[in-house]
Amino acid sequence: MRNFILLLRRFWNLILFVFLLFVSIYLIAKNKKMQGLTIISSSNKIVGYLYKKQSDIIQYFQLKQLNDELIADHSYLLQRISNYEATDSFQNVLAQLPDTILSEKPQEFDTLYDKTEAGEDTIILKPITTEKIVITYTDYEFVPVRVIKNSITQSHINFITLNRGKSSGIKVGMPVVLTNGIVGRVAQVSENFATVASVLSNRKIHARIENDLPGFLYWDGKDPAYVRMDDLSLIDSISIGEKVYTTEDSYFPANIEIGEVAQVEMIERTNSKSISIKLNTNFRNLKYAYVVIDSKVEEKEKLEEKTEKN
Amino acid sequence: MSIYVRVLLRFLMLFFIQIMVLSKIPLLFEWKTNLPSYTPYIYMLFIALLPVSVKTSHMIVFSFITGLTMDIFSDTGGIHAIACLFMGVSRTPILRFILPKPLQEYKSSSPSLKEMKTIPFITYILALFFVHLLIYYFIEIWSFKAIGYLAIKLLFSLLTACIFALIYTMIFSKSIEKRYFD
Repeated sequence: MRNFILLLRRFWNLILFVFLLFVSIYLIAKNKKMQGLTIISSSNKIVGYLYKKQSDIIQYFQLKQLNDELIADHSYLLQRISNYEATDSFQNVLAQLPDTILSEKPQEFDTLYDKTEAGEDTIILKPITTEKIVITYTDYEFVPVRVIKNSITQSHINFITLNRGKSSGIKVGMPVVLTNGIVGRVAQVSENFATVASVLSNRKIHARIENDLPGFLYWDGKDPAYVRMDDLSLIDSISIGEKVYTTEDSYFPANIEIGEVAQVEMIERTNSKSISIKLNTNFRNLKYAYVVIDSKVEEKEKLEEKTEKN
Repeated sequence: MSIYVRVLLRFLMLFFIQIMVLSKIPLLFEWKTNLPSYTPYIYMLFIALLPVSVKTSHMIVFSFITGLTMDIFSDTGGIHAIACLFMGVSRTPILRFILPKPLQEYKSSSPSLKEMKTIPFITYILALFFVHLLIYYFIEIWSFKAIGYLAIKLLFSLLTACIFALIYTMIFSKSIEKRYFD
């Protein structure tokens, strides 16, 4: 205690000065609007800066978890959107026919008839059912997966390994996509892992250019950022920058953007055009993807097989 | 007359002049364009003319009270108080720099025209008023963009304040020239 008092006495002038300084700053902040606003807002700024730094540090350690949550949310949204895209809806309207056509007046539709005062039957057409009928062609489920091994250097076919397998419902042949790009197709599945034959292969994929020009994509084994599309007709007008989409005929979900036309070449020997397409998917830096599980695809394939047999 | 009564009378006198006369005449110079108008300040002469032997802690309190009084009369929040605080703190170093002998030897005398000779006294007043007016105008204008405006205002008001202070010390020099023994 004695030491404390000594300390106080030693720095008494400084303490007094600082105290009175703060008193006058308080008076200014209270009475002068312009200066006061600056004093208050700058002190808020300092506090806000400290809090922001703190949350930045905390957030850094949560990044991985946040990323996973975002990917999960994203897959949910993708699913919702895809359900809206592949649907048709219409109202089923049936009308009651006039009495003269029906041989017998059905009892249950009595209420539909209004007798006029003259006793004549008036013809009233009323819809019997107004329920909305919705038909969905697809039932996609987007499973978020992490890419744990990736190759882009093989010249014929490249494989990607994913961190999910049979236990997550992944089967051979399922497409793997991004929101804005395609990745490949599941080639092998084990209990907890799956390998994907990536787009960077010589297998052909059906696609269309923006103005509904169909064609087949393939990779020429050179640059992992570009794929090629050959045998397009000379009269087709294709300009650089047009987008390329997947179609229903490919094994991918329809209307996913693959990339954009980067180069158009005329090949005189075959009298055709061939284009190179810049992929949206960055295969050099692939971290996450979505496996698309379509529960209706089996039914569709079975039907198609049956039709071919006949 | 006791030193306390003298100091009190000087306080009242300075504030009477400041509030009743000088605060009512905002000065305006015309030089090429109209320069900003300003009030000549003289009340801080009270701090400058306190006896040399006043303790630093008392000095701080006196300066604060002086500034606060001016604030109360001119409705400026605490700007004068801050300016006076800094002025009061910087008084002892400036005196130590200007006076030829160590401060302990000026036991109970006030800084004055007679005691310090003309040029050192003017330097002393200029230095103290510079500190005061710089802080005062800086807080009042509250902007780094108007630094030229601040410089002009500071220069003119510093000169005027010094002239007024010198006139005051000349008029009331009789009481200041005496040594106080108490």
